[in-house]
Amino acid sequence: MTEEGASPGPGSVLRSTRESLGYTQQDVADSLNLTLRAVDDLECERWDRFHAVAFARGYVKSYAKLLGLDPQTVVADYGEFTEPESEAPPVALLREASAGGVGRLGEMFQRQPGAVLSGTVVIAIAAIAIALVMVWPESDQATEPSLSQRSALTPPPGPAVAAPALSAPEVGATSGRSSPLSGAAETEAIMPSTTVAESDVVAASPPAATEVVVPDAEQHPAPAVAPARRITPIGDDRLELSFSSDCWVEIKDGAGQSLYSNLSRSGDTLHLVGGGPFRILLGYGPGVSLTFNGEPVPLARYTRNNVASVVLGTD
Amino acid sequence: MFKNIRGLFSRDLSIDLGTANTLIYVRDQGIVLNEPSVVAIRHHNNQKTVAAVGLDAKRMLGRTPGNITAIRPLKDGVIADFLVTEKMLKYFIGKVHENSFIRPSPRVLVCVPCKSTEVERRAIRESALSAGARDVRLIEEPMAAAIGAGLRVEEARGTMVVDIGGGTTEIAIISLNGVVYSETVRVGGDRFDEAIVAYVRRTQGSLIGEATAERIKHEIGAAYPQKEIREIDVRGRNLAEGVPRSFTLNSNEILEALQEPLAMIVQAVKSALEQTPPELASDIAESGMVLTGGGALLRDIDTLLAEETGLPVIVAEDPLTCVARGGGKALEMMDAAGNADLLSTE
Repeated sequence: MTEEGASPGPGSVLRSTRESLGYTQQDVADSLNLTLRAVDDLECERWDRFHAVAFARGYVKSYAKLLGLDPQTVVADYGEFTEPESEAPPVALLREASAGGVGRLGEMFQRQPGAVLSGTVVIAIAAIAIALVMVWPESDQATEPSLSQRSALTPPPGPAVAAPALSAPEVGATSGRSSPLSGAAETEAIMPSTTVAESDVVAASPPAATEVVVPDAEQHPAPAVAPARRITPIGDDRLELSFSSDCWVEIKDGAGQSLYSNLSRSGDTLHLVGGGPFRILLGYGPGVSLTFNGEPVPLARYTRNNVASVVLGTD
Repeated sequence: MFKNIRGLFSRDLSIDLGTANTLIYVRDQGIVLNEPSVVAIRHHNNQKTVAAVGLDAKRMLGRTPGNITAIRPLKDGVIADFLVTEKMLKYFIGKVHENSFIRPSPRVLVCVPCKSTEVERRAIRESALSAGARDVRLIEEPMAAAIGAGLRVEEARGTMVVDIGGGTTEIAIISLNGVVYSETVRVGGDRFDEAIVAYVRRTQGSLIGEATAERIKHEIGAAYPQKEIREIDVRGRNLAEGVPRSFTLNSNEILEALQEPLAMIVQAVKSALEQTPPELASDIAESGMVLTGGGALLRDIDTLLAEETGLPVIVAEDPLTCVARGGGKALEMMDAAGNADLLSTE
């Protein structure tokens, strides 16, 4: 507030202009439909007498326009004089009264506590997901050697371990991290598809199977040439497979019973001994050279869509 | 759930969904969008796609090839084309959140005309929800305009607001956070433009477009006789000769052209004053009425209303954005004080 008549503010500008034009306050009041008191309040800058800042500002503008002054200039002067007052609209007062010094997040929490909480939970989940994604490749790499050891973790040849040889991949995958005794139990547990008789064989000879397998996995992780392996108890047909690329190998006997199945890596050589007939399935025929009893088998004629399927040793 | 999560990355918006312009006010930022409520639709093999929205679409008005139609999805302050309004809102909300990498889901306060029906209000709410808003609230336009103009709506004192928009003029008497009386007339800036087009056709025998009429209104339009006569050169198609011709119009001619829509506004204001309860009428007689909306920018419209009603008339600061700003302030007030009185019911 400024003292009456002593200010060079918009009120005194309006008053001096009005007087220079020869108008009375009553003339102005009649033109603007204001009361005489309101005109006097404007000239004396008693802004608090008006109901709202917007009205006082509007009257100043109308008054300036009536006198031929630039309303914007006079209103700008008015703004300078009443800035502290106009900075306190009812909204601001309400906000201060209720919110106090609470920050934006605090305000948000007051308004939408559920949303803030759910947002926090989501951010936490996202952080965990990101951490998992970052760790994942490492764990993949960590498990990779055990997968590549599958072919190496094959049981030694011999009639006594013929049945375990059928489940060589499964045994290799689990036995690397287990004790000999638990290895036997696990082998039994993860072979639900094998026959009861085979399971009995495995259960009866756990020490032999695991004692051979575990040191083999640790000392020779990827042998290029493995000794000949017997896949059936009788017979002396020799199968020799050389791999120039990764290939899935599956060998069944005449009755469709699986004798051998494994993924062989590029560079591996597989020597198998047993009695035919053998139904051989090679996932990638062009990557394998096969000999049967020392004679090469031309796989091309048995290959369709890169998958070779051949039956050898038929009578 | 997801809307709530996305809402954390969105800002509260107040939308003045007007017939002529759509304005968006963002908390703590002010008016961030002011674009014409126009959408250009491309027709292709019985399929409609949005070609442009807002300012770009307005430039196309009256200049589109056969397969593109520039339309205004709102008429008289309410939705005339639901789907197009939804597309437009979606575009505007997205534009306000341009820097956000998450699809926005803001809380939205939409200003609606007082006399809009329940169906019209529901259409606006549904449209905003479909456009991605997670929570839609409605407020009556004069209430938002009064708050935006800086009036003390919460006091037990009558305040009169005249909001002259593009399609409608809303007149309301407000007291204690509520609308005591309201009146809507379907006259606004668009009717002014139409009146100018009709006048030029009648007196000059030439046809001008809406955009030209709007330019004439902005440059020399007035609601009260001016001391200084202003002139403007205009080009239009001569109806008799069929070729474009240039002619000059002055402010007195435009004043004459605008007489009919202006008289309708004056009549509505007088009618509202007649209906006002005596106590509130006394308050209004003392403090006067406040003009808001784009129509308040017409020269000397305050003088005309002051002379016709015998009341003090003031034009709000920045009248074009009053409603949007008021909506934003209303959101803040409601959050701060838990005051839901300001809201409009559906």
